[in-house]
Amino acid sequence: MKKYNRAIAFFIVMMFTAVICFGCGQEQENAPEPQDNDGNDTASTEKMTVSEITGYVLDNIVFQDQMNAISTDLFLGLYNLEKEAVAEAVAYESTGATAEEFAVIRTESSEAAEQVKNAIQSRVQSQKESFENYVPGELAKLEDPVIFEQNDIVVFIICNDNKGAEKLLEDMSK
Amino acid sequence: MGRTAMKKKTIKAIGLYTLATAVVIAAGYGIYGAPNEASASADYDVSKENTASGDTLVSDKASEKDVTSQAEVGKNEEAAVKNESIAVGNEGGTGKSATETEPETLQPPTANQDAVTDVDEAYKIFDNTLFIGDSRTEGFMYYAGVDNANYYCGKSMTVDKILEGKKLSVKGESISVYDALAKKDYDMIFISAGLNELGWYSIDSFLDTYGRLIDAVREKQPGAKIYLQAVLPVTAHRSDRDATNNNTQIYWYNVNIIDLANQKGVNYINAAPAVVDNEGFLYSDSTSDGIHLNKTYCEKWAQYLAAKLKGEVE
Repeated sequence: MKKYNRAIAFFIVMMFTAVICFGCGQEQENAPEPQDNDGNDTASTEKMTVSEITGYVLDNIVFQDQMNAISTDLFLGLYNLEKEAVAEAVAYESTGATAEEFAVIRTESSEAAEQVKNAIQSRVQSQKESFENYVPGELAKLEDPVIFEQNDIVVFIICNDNKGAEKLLEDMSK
Repeated sequence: MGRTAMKKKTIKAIGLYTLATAVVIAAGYGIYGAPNEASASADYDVSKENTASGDTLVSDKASEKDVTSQAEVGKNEEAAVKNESIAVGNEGGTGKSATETEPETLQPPTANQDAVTDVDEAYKIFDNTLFIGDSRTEGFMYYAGVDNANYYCGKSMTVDKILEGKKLSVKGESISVYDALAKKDYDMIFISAGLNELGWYSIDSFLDTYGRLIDAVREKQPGAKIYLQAVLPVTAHRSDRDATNNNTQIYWYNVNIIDLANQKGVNYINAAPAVVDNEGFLYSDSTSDGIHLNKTYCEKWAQYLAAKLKGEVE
């Protein structure tokens, strides 16, 4: 009986010790990313995904119009991009009331990034032609589009305050 | 120390150890979050509704589509009747007979619409369909989810620009309406025009040009059913303040488009019942400028057209 009680006690102690060790293991996984040689936090930008940047844009940048995501095929068509150049992308369009739009594109290579940036410039030109005789007031927004590059991701934004949007993206990447 | 005392001490020690362990674990969860919740501690919430609906190369597009919104279309019964009464009232004056070209009866959708649970399946009817139109059609192309159709549409498009072969950048291609018509043999062709012509000096000029456009489309696609879409209304706020883009003018244009459809032997279809309130105005939450429809209402528009074509609404 005494041996039996000791065995139970030993078993319980081992179980809780194992639970603590498991918890610590998880905690380690969730620990902050390492810093670079200068002590700067390197985790914030390098690990940001297309989805996270999209969330950041939606949460921090004010759009006058209602913005909704469009399908990937439509995005590729509108921007005249080959599927092979784009690893992942999210694009939002306005209802047509304004020239506002934005896209977050993860590219396959530096060559593809150039391709994407050229495609964005063509898209801006096309939109200028569309709005010229339609809602000329929107042309100002198209004069200084935000084209922001961070690692393998290109962010394109047209909104009422393009300069403010660019600043926000810069803050995001710090 | 007796055996009983030893036993009690052992049990007490185990109890304390267990309690301490529980406290440590609880504290750990409080600080770090449960396993797999690491990403939720980001400074911004990427699970925001419109982010979640974003389509990425790796997302499941079908999950975005609101297949339940069909039932809401039924709310517009009165508006539908109102719109129709205006159209029919005028059409009655022209003495038109009930033919294929007769104006659509704007009755409320039936319960059959609820049976449409798979949007992709519902939109199969738009295989071999070409949509021609202006910025509203462009919004439809962006948001409605009718990705199997072809489009020729753009901002500020008018019937004269379409007819003269103006090239537009559509899905990466610079094409004229004739290029779009030459792509394949279509079963159906929808034309949405009139919104940007509401301010034209003469409606006769609009109707004459629209008539020639219909002729040109029919010449290129003799086997296709041609549908002239009604100009959709605007919001009450917009209508009250806009000397051109207001519902009175829109109804006047629609009456004439109905006549034109009859004269040309083509169809007229009015999706207004899907997007207007009980006074015949666009819902205020459907648009930011009183004219252009957002995603939700573009989907309602498409669902209504599909249901109408399948005879699920009268």
